[in-house]
Amino acid sequence: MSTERITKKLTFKTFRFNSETDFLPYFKTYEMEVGKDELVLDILNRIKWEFDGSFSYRRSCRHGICGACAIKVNGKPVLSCKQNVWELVDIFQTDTLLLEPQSKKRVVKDMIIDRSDFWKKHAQLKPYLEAEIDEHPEEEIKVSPKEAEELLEADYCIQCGSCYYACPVVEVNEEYFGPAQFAKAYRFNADVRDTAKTDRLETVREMGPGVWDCVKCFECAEACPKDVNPIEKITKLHNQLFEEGLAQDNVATRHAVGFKHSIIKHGILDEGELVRYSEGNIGVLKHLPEAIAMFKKGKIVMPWNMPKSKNLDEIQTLVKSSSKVKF
Amino acid sequence: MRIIYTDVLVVGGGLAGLRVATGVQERGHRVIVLTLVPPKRSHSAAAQGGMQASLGNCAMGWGDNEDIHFEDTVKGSDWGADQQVVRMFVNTAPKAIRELTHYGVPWNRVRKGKHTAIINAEKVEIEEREEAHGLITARDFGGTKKWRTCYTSDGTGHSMLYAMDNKAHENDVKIHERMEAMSVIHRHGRCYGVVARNLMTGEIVAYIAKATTIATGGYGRIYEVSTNAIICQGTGQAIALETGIATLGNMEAVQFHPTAIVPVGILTTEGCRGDGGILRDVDGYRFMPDYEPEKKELASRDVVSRRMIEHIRKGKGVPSRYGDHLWLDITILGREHIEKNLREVKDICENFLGIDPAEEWIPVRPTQHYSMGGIRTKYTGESQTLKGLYACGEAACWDLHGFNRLGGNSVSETVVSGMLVAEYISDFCDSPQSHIGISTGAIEDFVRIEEEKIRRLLNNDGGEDAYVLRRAMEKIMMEKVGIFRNGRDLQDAVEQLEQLHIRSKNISVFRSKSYAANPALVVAYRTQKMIKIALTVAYGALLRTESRGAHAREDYPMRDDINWLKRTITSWPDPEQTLPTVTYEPIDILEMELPPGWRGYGKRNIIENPDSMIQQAKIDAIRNELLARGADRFAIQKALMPYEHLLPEKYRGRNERLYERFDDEKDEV
Repeated sequence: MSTERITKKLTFKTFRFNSETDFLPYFKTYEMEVGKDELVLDILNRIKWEFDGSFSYRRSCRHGICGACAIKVNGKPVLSCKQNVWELVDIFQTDTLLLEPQSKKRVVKDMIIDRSDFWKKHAQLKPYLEAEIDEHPEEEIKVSPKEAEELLEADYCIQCGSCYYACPVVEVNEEYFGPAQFAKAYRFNADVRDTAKTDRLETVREMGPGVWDCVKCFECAEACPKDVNPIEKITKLHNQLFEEGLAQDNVATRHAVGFKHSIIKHGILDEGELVRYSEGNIGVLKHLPEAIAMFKKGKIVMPWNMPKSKNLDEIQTLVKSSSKVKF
Repeated sequence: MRIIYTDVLVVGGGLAGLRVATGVQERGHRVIVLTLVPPKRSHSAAAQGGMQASLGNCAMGWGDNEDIHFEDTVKGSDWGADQQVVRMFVNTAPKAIRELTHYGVPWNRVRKGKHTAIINAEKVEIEEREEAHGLITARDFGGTKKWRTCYTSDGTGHSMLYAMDNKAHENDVKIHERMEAMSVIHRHGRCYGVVARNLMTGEIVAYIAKATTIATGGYGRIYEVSTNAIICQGTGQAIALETGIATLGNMEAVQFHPTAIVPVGILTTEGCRGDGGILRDVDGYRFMPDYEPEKKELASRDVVSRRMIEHIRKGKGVPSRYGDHLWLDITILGREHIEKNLREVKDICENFLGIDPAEEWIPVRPTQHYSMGGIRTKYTGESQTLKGLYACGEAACWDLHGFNRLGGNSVSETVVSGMLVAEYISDFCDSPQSHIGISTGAIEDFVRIEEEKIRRLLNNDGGEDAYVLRRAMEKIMMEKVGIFRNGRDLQDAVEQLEQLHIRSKNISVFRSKSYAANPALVVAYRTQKMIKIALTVAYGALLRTESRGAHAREDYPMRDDINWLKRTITSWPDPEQTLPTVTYEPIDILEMELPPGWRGYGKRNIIENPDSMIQQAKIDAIRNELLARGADRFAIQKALMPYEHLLPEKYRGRNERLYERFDDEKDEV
């Protein structure tokens, strides 16, 4: 057994700001020897204990279940109690790590941000089970294991906000609910005991705040420290909207339905027609420059030249049997 | 000065606190919850393995009922528990779990048909009943006769806390986040609320209420290594203690969980062993059957932890840079089971150890985990000595766990005690006694005292460094007030802690002098409180010259039912005294439904009290007579130790099970 301890000398450029007293934020640099098993939270603790007692950050459970300590390191969302420092050195190939709060525009002090927008949006999606069940039943409700599994990983969300503050839509669209919120809406919609599914779907189908504004960049899935995979739940909500007949006729849903039309007709995707169907005859005109470029490269063809897939009749039967949408 | 009035004030937003809040609000009382962190970040979320409730749905739990749960809990407590409270608890637990289902907890369910499980390191086939399909299932836990621990994989606390907080949310419960209770406001033996400090702005606010509930969890962080969250610092117990009137119970009863990972002390659930995991030593040898032939790895936690240390002391530990440890082997459960039912454990192993528990053994060592001690209350949750002050959950000692808690009984207790205490508080608030009789001037005095304390800490130059004192305290607790204790070390610990306590009165806040959002200031005042709590633990342990449950004295290895079948009651009547005042509250064997005996596991080191035999004979006679008359188990129980009258009326009913229906009420014998 070796008692040797190998450390790396690392530099932590740390975001500092006190919204009460500071006019502008600034960075302070702390250098320290960091061992192989040290976590980002250890570094935050050491900054407070060894350098500056006023350094502020949130933490509680220190084992990845309370969700308090999420920050960003070199722009990567991390749960500081779970994230090994050497691993970050490996990923970024650098000895200097940048410690920043999840969202700089919401900072209260140092790593502490005001997450009230996060919680407020969460509250708008009925994040609780609505059910007509006897409060003090003598026997319990049956839920088959299969039905229980429908929740997928959605119940594991610890609301750390990692996905939310990594989401580029949240960054530019203040009313957008956000990935964690949708994952939560899915968690209750998928629960067989719940009766508020329609209400929630009517909330999330709105253009602007709703699920159709997701740009499918997968940042949320990447950011999640608990593998909740929010974008999968967003897609499930898309499907539920169609399944429940609650999808409204708009550019986003038409985009989805356009795929179906194209597959029924050709068995493969007709990109030109997809855009025309989604955006209408006039809307499509604004894409003319891209269309010409794509046409030149052979990415789209004239309608009359559109090829057909083999066994088209089989594909059509499949689509018909699995589709519920009415427009 | 800001004064906020409400009917009920709850300090702490974990499972217990939230359940009190929703309960009193449903009874029509205004409530405010003060929390250090948003409720969903509370440490209740960290409970992994499950919640005990005798539903008896799964094949291995079949035949379970309140009587068996009662017996397991009392034996687990090493007869330290209040048996009436245990009865109230076991009867309410099935109701609590069914209520939580209603709130949305996605319990794991029984799947009909055959499945394999690992029992005693062997694959066993179990067949689940058709009629149980879709009902809540359970797993095995230490110290229980039946599989009774209901779970949602190994994130039970998380699921429960989220469901509970969502419920609070739905009911619009008022939650004041980042508010820390600094002291209890009281006058003439009556509690009227707390003085709280806003952690963000530094503002000191008075909260005045008819009833105040402390539900701040345990005090694990007085130890250097603990499975507890960083916020579990015992400040709730400390502010009660500092009233000089309220008392703490059994503070020396501190539980060490057998399987926390080395070195960081993060918990891996008892479910690992419940589901079939085993403990191995340096040679890879499974040693527990040698010590505990009956229960093996699944004896109660205090017993398993001690056996592990015994084994390490025999030189069988695995040496490492962080000291000796043992192995927890769950590889035999198979990857599929681990990924589905122990996914949090897998995550912890990957993140904090860099190992795959489906392939490799987990390095574990017993680590501070739970505080059986807490604010001493009556069965109603109200302090025995300070009217209007309530406590529940881990923060309290109403005394469900005695000297050792069974795994799975803690999350269960949070919700059950929350349900019950909410009713008792509501009754109190409905009564004329709840009148708030304190003047603004008197409230102001309490606020001024806290403001003055903060000012002194910030303005004191050249005093003691709180970090240094705290580290010293943690080390003393770790080294001298651990799993095995002895008089010499305890005496040392008490003396050193007393010195730390005296020094803590002269703490300076270095580095940062700000009143608002100042972590250094928070460390300063919490350290003063934590040292007091540490003293109550160490001093209680020094005085108790016997071994009971988790309190194990090497110099007094016997459980002494003649001299020590009593609760330790600690108070701090004079702020100037440097040691707490300790008295004792006897536990009467002649009122017990289950008189003291051997637990069925652990060493048989008992100094028996003759009353135990007398009471047992009395019980046997009653039972035999009633059985001869054809009485059912309820009638027998009632004859032995009536408790139902103590429960709030709405929770008195019996619990139906697949094999126990109460369609037609039988005549009482």
